[in-house]
Amino acid sequence: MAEVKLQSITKTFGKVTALDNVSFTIKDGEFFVLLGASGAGKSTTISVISGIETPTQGQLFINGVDVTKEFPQDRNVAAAFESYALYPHFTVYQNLMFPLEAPARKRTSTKEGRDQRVREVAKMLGVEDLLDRYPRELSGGQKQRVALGRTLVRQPQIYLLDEPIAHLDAKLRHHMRAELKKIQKEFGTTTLYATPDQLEALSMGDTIAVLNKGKVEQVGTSDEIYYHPVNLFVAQFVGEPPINVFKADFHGSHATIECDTPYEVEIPLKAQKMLEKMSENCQLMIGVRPRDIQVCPPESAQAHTNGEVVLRDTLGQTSIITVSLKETSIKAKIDSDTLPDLHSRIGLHFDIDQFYYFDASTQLRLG
Amino acid sequence: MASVELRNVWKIYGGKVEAVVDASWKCKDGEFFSILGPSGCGKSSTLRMIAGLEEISRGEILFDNDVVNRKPPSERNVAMVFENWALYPNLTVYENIAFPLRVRKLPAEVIDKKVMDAARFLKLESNLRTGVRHLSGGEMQRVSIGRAIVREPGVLIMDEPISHLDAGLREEMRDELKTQVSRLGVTTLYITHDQVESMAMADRIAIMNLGHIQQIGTPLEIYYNPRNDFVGGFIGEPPMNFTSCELLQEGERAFIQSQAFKLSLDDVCRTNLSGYRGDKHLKLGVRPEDVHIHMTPSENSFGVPVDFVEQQGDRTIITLRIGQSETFLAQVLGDLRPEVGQTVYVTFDQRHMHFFHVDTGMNILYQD
Repeated sequence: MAEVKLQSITKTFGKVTALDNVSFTIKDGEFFVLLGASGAGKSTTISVISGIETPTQGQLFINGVDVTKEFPQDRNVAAAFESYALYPHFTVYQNLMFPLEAPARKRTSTKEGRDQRVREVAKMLGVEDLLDRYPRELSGGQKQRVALGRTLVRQPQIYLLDEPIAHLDAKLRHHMRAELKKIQKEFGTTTLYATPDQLEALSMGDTIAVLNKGKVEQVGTSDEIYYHPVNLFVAQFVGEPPINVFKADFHGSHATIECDTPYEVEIPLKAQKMLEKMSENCQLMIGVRPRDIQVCPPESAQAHTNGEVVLRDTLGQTSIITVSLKETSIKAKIDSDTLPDLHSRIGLHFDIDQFYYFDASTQLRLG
Repeated sequence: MASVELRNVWKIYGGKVEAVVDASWKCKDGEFFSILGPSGCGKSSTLRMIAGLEEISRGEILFDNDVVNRKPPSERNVAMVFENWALYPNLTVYENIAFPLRVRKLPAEVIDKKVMDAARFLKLESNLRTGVRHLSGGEMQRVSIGRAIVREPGVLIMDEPISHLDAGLREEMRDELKTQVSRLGVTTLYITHDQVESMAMADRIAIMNLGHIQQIGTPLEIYYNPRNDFVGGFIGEPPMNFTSCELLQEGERAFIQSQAFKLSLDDVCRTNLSGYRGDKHLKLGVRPEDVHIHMTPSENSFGVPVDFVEQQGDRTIITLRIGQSETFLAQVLGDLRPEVGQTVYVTFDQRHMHFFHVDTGMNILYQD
């Protein structure tokens, strides 16, 4: 049981700033996801919390106690990393048992208790039939589960998981996500989970922090991040395929969207009120999610813009089409039943109520 | 450019391990053809035989109707792009692309022209003097394509070229790759274990498992009309749900019954099944998007508890507990958000229910 608080943490490696004034709080018992591309600072954050790295500036609190200078072993955290780091000369069973046989833990537990815990975790992760094997006899996915298991056998106050299921195939990954979340809810252990996969972050996180180049862009629930991104970066990072963005001019009740031939749309009243507060000479940008775009006949009345279909990605019932305009291209997520022909000319209709508005200079979302 | 045809091709290692079993298919000239399957399915052995890196145990491989079994790799005019791109790290972009031409000792002006053409085509002109280790992943991939295409190969083989990338980047690369390849118009064999890549990119897909070709078709054919339960379960994300069921006839009405539910079949489904005379015990397959969830009971629905809810932006994946140990996934678009533990009511889109033979796994409604 623990609350973790990062307060203005900066970490530099020589000239490189890996973390830049990072502050957030992981509540007790929460499943907290760090989302960011590679190089965003996810692993550094985990290293700082676990104590492997000392922050250059700032403080780290666990349950209100400043632990910035404490040794890793005194923090009672367990970490799993993307690389497996299993002991090659130990069997799966021995690898899982290893953390439990540290002197301090050995003294406070029984042999039967430790054995039971190892078997329990092995079952949870579906490796109970592999206990006698050596790491070299395992597939990548199996190794990763054992590495994760070695973290889970301990019952620390905080789990730090750095892309722990990145190497599993899609089907298993889906299963493991649900399992991990269930384990976490059952034990109520505060968990920090780092991933570059926005879908994974949205589906697992009670709270998500979006990291970009060492800075926190936004902290919020999955709905807040997806439906109310604070800025253009978050809007573009979350959602697959990414949101389409156009320059636009706002005047009175209408906006002219500059995608190809400028198109004038009437802005919904609520958005109008908000946009009126914008300063005169501020450039507007409008974002439309791919699923908020429909296909219509070219040059028809509903068409906000027209273009040529240059890519069609079938995903099953839904497909993603890329439509090329003169200067830019637009992605739309549509039903596969209504898939237009490749290289055909089509019209695109935007769902105006679902527009996102951004200030082009600050990149912040308006409203 | 060339067509590639396999006629009853086998690969047998050490006289007993059958890596590829009696594979026959034809990839047309200019087609983007994907070989898809889990690890160990025989896709890499297939590709190695086509490239000439591996002997063909039995059968024939033809390029443009010429048997190439006895031709060495260098005479097959095949170019390959690998998972790790295999660029020379100490060379510049220009030198990497020029490399295969230098090996062939072409005149300097010819090399220069070809490299510049490829660089322009792949938008690498501004990076030509850059060392490849300073490039982004996307740029490196373009260099590796550039190096493959300067030789003007008849067939381009790509072996998991983007599988190891971060999710976001992978999607970007996928579009880029497909765009570049379709502009080139070169015959492309694309090997992957990732069904999303195959579905999104390929004109046609050959799905393999345990050395056997399972089905060949366009992405949508395979998605809506899987030949067997392996194909049904392998294609689609989240994967298809399966449960065993029994077909029942009660007077005019027909039902399917499983441990967890008994559903009356609608006219469409009944007509589909009307010609079926086989075993009444079947394996039912329903895709998560065809599992519909309602908050109140309706006709022909059944109640089940919610086990897990995954909010994924514009879609929600709901895990339902069906019976003692089975779960079903449902994909919901929009605002429906049940709580864990709550009972919800399920109906299936009966147009898209798949029935598989219990022993053979074959789809009993498969249309060839």
